[in-house]
Amino acid sequence: MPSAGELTRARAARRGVAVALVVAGVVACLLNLFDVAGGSGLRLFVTIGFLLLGPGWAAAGFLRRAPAAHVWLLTLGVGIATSLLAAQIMVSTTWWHPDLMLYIVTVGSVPFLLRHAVVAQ
Amino acid sequence: MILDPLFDRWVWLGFLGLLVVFGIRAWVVESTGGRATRAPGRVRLLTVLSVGMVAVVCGLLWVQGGQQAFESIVHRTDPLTGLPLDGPAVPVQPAVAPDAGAPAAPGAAAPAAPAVNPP
Amino acid sequence: MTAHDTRSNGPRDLSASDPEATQVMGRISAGTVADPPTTALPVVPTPPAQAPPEPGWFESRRPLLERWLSPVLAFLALTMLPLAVATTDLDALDGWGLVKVLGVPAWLALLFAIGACLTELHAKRPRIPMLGAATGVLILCSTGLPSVVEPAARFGTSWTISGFVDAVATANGVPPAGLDARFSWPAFFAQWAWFRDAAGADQLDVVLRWFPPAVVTVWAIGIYALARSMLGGNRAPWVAAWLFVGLNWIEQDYFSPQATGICLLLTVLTFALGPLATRRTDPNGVPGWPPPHVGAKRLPLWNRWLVSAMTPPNRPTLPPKQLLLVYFCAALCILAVIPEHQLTPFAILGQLALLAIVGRYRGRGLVLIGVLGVLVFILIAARDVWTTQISLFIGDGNTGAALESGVANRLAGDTGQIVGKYSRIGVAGISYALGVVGAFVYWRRRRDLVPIGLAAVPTAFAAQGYGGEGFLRIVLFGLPILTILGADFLRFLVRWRKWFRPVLAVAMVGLYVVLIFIRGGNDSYQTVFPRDLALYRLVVATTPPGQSVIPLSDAGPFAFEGLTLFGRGGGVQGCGQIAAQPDPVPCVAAINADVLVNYRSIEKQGEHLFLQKPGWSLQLANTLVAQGTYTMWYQDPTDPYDFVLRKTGAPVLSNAPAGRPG
Repeated sequence: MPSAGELTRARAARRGVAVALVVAGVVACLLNLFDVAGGSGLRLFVTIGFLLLGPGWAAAGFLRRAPAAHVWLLTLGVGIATSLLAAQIMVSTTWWHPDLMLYIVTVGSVPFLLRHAVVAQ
Repeated sequence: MILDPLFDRWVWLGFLGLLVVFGIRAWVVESTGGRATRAPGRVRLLTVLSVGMVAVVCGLLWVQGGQQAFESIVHRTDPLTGLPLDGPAVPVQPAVAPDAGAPAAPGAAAPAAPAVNPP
Repeated sequence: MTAHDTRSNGPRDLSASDPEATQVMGRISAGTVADPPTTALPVVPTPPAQAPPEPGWFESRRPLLERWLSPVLAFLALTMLPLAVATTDLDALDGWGLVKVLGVPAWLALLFAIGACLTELHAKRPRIPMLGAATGVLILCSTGLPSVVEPAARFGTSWTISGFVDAVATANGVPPAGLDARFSWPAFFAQWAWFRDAAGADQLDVVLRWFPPAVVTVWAIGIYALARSMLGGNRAPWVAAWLFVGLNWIEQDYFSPQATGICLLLTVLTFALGPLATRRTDPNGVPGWPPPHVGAKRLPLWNRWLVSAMTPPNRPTLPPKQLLLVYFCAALCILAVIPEHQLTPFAILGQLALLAIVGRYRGRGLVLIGVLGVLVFILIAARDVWTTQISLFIGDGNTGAALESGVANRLAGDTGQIVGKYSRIGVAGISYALGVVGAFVYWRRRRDLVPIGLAAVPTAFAAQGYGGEGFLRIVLFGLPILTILGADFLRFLVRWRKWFRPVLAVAMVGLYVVLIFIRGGNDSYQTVFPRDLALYRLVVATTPPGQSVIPLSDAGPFAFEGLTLFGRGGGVQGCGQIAAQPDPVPCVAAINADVLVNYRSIEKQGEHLFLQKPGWSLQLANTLVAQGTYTMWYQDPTDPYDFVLRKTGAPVLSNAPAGRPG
């Protein structure tokens, strides 16, 4: 069993990750909206990082008393799965709007991320 | 057999419905499973509904290409032509090497054959 | 009954039967039994109190070492990496690959990284964050070493897939039809096209370069999490992760659908065997149903199997909402992998089906959802594939030929190539041997043979007409479970004999050296230089759409842009790879391409894999130019093997410089 101190540190870390992902999502959307730094490494890194981790953390943040490895694995798995399905839906419906889909994923994830930033499990 | 692509949407909708019913059933089962030793009536109803949805999706799939694919696999035949896959090879005509000195045909961009061994 | 007997018979003399009990009972029944004779014991002077032995240098500094040694070693490993870049001579690559040209700092980085892992593992209380960081450094210094020392992503196939992404992005999300069967499973290409467009980028060169260490890190997290559930303990799961990284020579971690498919597979498997895990047990939680009464004869095997099969699995201890969350996420992963990759869904569903049959997880509906999802996707979304290439799904019934193409035909090349390929077979054999022995240890401990069954499920791919690559996938999909079982065996060894610890530490160094040798074995023709990328982009910019552009072989970056603009040749019997032909000139004439592209990697592939004479590609170019059929349109000033031949008189777009520089 993890000690109380370890649990506190883990909660703080999970809050920090949630806050960082909220910031990443908002920044990715703003950079996209104003088309700033197109193709730069920073924008690519922030956008990919948010799309791979944001939706996953929004789901995995609900896991209670799970080891960090389980939380991160679920984060990455759900993040990859969400982005794959979102992209497949855009292809199958011939509705190719990468910018709008970025906003949709952000809007869908940020409320849960904010919740995890306040109430870490 | 010619399949109507417009009918595909019913298969997708059927599959979506199946996911919804499975999700509702999982919710009800997990919410009530710890308190009852015997499955409550609504769980049994949802189980019947799930089985029904599976049957509907399977039926739609059978109509929309499943039968064709099944017969091709069982009889090892080509799905479009119905000819056997393991039949005797058609003798290949000797290929005529193009004249090296001849000018290339304009727009000689032959698309590559579809890959047989994707990763 | 026992209490009644004791009361009715009163105290008993137990001295005859139990001398230890005599003293106890004697004190209790002192009033009725005579005291035993006593003897005055001589006073023995106690020896002078000895001062505790002085702790040795190591013992006295152990807390300090345990705190700092691992971080220092990990830091040293990282500091070695820039030096490794500077001391690695990529121009000297030959058939032995990367292992021969790596400088001393690269090997020191590997040693320091292994040292960081092992010192932390050896500590009294291993720190999980430190072990995680050390594992990351180990991955960077082993699997990620080519990404560090080479200036661009290696492996031509990863560039081809980047070209698929480019094709989807430039066509606004419409995969090209009739070009490649892989476009019928477009989710991965669309995913990265989305990322690319959303980030305003027009290429993914950096992503391709760092993709292998990143994705292996995710796999290692999955193995660790899975091993935590299967093995328990603080150390064995880390050993399982390191063993997996060390045995993962298969190199399916490049930028590809199967790489992310494995991430999803591990996610589903980890949660099925972890939070969702169940056993068929009796109501008290005892597995295997005890015999009806003490001393009863054991039931026949078939009877025990029947009882086991009819026993409902118990419920996981997770609260209902947590269970539902895990179901939802697992279903999402299964559904996402279906349009992404052809084989991975079958691996996931095969393993889940086995677990469902033996009652090892809750949520068997996931299998049904997955099976129906696969059927819907293949029959509806991938209709073009099964109607035109049904043999892709049902196989051609010739497993022997597949084995030959998968293994035997790959055993070609010069001495370095041959040694590397036999090493691959050897390491695959070691993986399975470790897994089987580990399965025995696991069975002795837990009476459970299901894990080795999970590793065996992917062997069903051998019956499928997937070609030689299928055998690599069998090893890949089985490797997670094999390594976890192998880690159980290694744990048994170190518990059995302590001296196995240093032996296994040395074996770990050896394993990682072999890993770098095997994975880098083809780097003479898999290394990509920025000048190669610039050359191909120049060709794309200057070639009119509709012309056929082909490389002399499949090594090197090709078709990563303009995939749908140009023809790719093909269809000429016996001329699949020009570089593999003893006399390439007739094949060049038969293919009749407008543009021929060559890189140093193709020259090296011809030399080391197809045993061509050194300089064969330049000689071919000179022959074609002398014939007058082609002209040397571009040759890189720093590398004569990077050249472009254009058919004489073929039009060229004028928005780029032409001519033969230098």
